[in-house]
Amino acid sequence: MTKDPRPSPEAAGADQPILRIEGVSKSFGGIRAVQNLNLSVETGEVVAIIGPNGSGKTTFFNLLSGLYPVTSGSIEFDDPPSSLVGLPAHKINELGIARTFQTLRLFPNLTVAENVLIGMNRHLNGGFLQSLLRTPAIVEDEKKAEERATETLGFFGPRLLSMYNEPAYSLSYANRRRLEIARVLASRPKLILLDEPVAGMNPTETAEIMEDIKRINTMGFTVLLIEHDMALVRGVAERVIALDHGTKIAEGSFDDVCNDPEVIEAYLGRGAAAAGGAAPASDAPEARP
Amino acid sequence: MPEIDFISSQIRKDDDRSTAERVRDRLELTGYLVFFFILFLIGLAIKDAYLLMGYLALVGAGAFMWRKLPRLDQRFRDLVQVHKGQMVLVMSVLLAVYPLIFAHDAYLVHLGALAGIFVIVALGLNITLGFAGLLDVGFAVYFAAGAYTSAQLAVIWDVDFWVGLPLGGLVAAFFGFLVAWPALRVKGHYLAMVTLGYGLMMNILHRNLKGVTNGTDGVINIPAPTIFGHDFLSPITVFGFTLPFQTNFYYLTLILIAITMLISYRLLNSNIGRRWEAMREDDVAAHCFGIDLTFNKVLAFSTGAFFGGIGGAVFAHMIGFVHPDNFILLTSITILAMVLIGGMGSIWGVALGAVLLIMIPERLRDFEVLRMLLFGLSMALIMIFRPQGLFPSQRRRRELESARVEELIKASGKENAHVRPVD
Repeated sequence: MTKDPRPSPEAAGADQPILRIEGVSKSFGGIRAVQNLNLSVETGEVVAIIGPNGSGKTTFFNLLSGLYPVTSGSIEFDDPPSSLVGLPAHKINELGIARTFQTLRLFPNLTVAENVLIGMNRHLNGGFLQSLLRTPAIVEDEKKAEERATETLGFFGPRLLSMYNEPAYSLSYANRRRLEIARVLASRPKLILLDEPVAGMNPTETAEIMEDIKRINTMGFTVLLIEHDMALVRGVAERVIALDHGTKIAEGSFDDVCNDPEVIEAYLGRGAAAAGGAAPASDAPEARP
Repeated sequence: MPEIDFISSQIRKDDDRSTAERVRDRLELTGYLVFFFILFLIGLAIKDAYLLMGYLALVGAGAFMWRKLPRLDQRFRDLVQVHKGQMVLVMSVLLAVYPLIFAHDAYLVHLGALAGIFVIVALGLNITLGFAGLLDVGFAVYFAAGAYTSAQLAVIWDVDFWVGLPLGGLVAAFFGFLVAWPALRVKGHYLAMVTLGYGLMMNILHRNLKGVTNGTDGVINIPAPTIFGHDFLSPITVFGFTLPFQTNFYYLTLILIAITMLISYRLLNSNIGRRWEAMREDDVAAHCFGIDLTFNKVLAFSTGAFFGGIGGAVFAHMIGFVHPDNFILLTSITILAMVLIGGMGSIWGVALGAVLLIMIPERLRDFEVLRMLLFGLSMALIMIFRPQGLFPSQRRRRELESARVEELIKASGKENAHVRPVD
């Protein structure tokens, strides 16, 4: 994979991973959705999580973003480290983690601009009284925020900018997915979580999103993504982690993970690896545009 | 490069337009408003009940035709959207002259003041329901809290109305806080059930906590407010022209409505309002973008309840008598209907809904039993033909500088200078 040398100073200066996860488990009653997961993400990296349906990928994202409480284990983020365990979702966002959703969760009746402004929420202050009195500081903040929203939407060229004042529900499916990403960018987080960013997209759109993710990374963002589309994973991920039944079964480069017998077994069933069955990787070229 | 139409409405930003165009728009808007106001006045002035029925049917048919002309409807809403100042100005003048027109008819002025009180209350529920999307079916609780607080303070401790009024609001806000705390574990229909139960429960308490509310005897002899030595129960005389004493209350509610509208508008157009709207649209996503759901929901409940309490306090001092029957489930449902019929989240719409829902049943009193039937029928018709409410809320349009946008589009694909992770 060809990749621009990253100019971001954060990458060079960081001496420890931005995200450190140790022994994280999550049970729903008797079901263990995530078991004893260890994982770390370096600043500036793009890491992909793959795995069959039901392998605990989205549960893991929900733990990370604070939607579910962790059953056991530790999650440490950033330097100086703060533990994410037990924090509600809004606190985690304030620390600098923002996510997209596999099933789109935009604010449908708000405009494209307002969706992005909500993404910026953690940078906007302005309490009840200041809002009532509409202090000059608030007016100035709001103006700046709108400028920044415009700029963020510009990431996708005219696609979202031209819909600036339109409600999010009126966007096409692909543009809704883009808006999810724009909303995350507006949050300017230290860690971006993308949950299946190309689910339901056609090959051309997938290729476009792949370039977008590369650009996001070049801008200095650290990305952790869940994806089923192997072409995309191969294209963007520096490191791949495979999950099955809530445990990590493989980690490494794309090719290593795809040739791992356990991964092949997880996808294709017992005996497939021994029989020299096709790993997910060999599906990829066909899926490519 | 695709053609970009940034503002899909035909009316563009005020500055882009010539003075002549602006003046024409403002006159047009004024024309619409005066026309609607005259329709409304005629409806009030008709004394004969059957004639009034016919008139209502006629206006209803007109409204139905209006609906068939979506461009006219959109035009009117665009005008309101762009010329907000003009709207406020014209409405202020029209509403200010209302008691002068009906100076001979104290009942209609009283009705105006009563409608005004419910406009304040409905605007309160509009904050909770319209902005934050929290369905509260027990809004009479806050109305009662404001009324009892202010009334008892005045009757027992001789506290001045001007002190009792904000205190009534604050006590109501506290009652909003009380229900919000447990109610936030649930949402949607379940939240409605919790608030319904709260409303019923509180009404039982109103009837039985004799030490606090005087039970079913009610609080009587609540003094009317005074301002600079002028008693609200004495008529106003201006230039030898005498207005009934109800005019005092009418103008009081008018001023309070203006304040409530200003606060609603400012909250909606701030971070607070945007957070509320985001919660209403998708609370999981809102939570993941740094919005503290508990805090913001409690804030929405309490702010809405505050205005419910303000309305209650004015009500107590205007009527001079507070009874548990004023705060039954039907009251809560009527307030809810005001918001739904006016258009959830729309400040002017909710005000209109409140006025109609007070005025129409009052004016139909001659029909006795048929009254509520006709009222219910008109509500059903409005909801069938205009489910979004009479005057639905407009999406705010943010203005873009096209030069800046061109630049951004050209720059896209390259790095965006300011979109970076924050250290």
